[in-house]
Amino acid sequence: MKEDNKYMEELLERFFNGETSNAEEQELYALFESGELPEHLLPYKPVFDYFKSGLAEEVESSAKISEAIKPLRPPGRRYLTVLLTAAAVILMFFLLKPLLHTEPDPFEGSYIVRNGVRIDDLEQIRPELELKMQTALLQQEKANRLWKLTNETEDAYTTVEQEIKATYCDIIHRFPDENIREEIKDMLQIECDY
Amino acid sequence: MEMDQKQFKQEVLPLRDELLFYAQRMLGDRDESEDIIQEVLLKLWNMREELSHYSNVAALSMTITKHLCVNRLKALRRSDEDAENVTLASEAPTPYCRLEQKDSLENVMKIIGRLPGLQQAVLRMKHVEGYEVEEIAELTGSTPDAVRMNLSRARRRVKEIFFKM
Repeated sequence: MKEDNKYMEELLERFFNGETSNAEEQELYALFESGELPEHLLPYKPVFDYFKSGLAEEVESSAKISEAIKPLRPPGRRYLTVLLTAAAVILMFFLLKPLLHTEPDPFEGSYIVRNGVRIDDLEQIRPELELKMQTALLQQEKANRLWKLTNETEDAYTTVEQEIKATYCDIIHRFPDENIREEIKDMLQIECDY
Repeated sequence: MEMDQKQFKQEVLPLRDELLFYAQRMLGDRDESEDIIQEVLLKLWNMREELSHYSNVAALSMTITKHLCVNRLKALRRSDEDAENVTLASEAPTPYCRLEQKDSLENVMKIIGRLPGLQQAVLRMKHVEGYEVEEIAELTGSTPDAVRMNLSRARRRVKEIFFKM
């Protein structure tokens, strides 16, 4: 009996040093199960119950729980999503590239009707279209110049008008009677600053 | 498809040096890094059923290593702060605490869940999956002594938890 206890204590010591083999651990569990424990080893009983089976139960039930709360999509699926998204982006890029990077042809869709025949061939009519375009641009420039000239004339007219008004006001100002001054302003329909 | 031990040793274990180098650069401590890598490899072994879903196991193991290192650094910083702010509260559990502990006994991972990740992983390998220390060392590329030390710490910790209950 004493020999047994000594052996068990030695096993116990080695167990907590992490030195026992699986077979020795089974032996130790069996010793604790047998029930004939010296008093000072009694507190170890629940500890070894745990190492024998409690631990595995804990791990298994926690595995069951984590299985239940596992994300619905396995990791492989996520890669598929990423791949498809990437493919879609690349496809969009190539589809939109012509729109993004090439200047639209200004003559696209143009045609010329000659003798009642519609000519759509862009290469054939391009020189003529370009000539027309040049003419149109020149005319637009001309129109712009005219517009500018008109504005300048108008400005000159406004200046003259201002000068005349100033002269009138100057003359009116020389009349000493205020009532007469007001009457003249009414007659000439002008406003003076003073 | 599940990976077997041989496959694991061929495909995952060669990553060990690179992972260890990375961990050491992050943690600056050889022993801690060894422990981190042991935990990373055990985690990878535990997920061997799912490994085929991952196209790049090297990247996965690097990510796990990085996360574990960051956690470790956080824990170290926290314990530094704790050391600075000495608490005056009594060590003895309040009745409320006791009730809470008793309550948490109903929870699943009531004991092993209170251990650090590496100790959990080693206990699991030994007591649930039934591997010998030497096998665990081979799988993680560590020495049997290193595994034994962590196994010993884990078992003593469990014993303490039981004795305090």
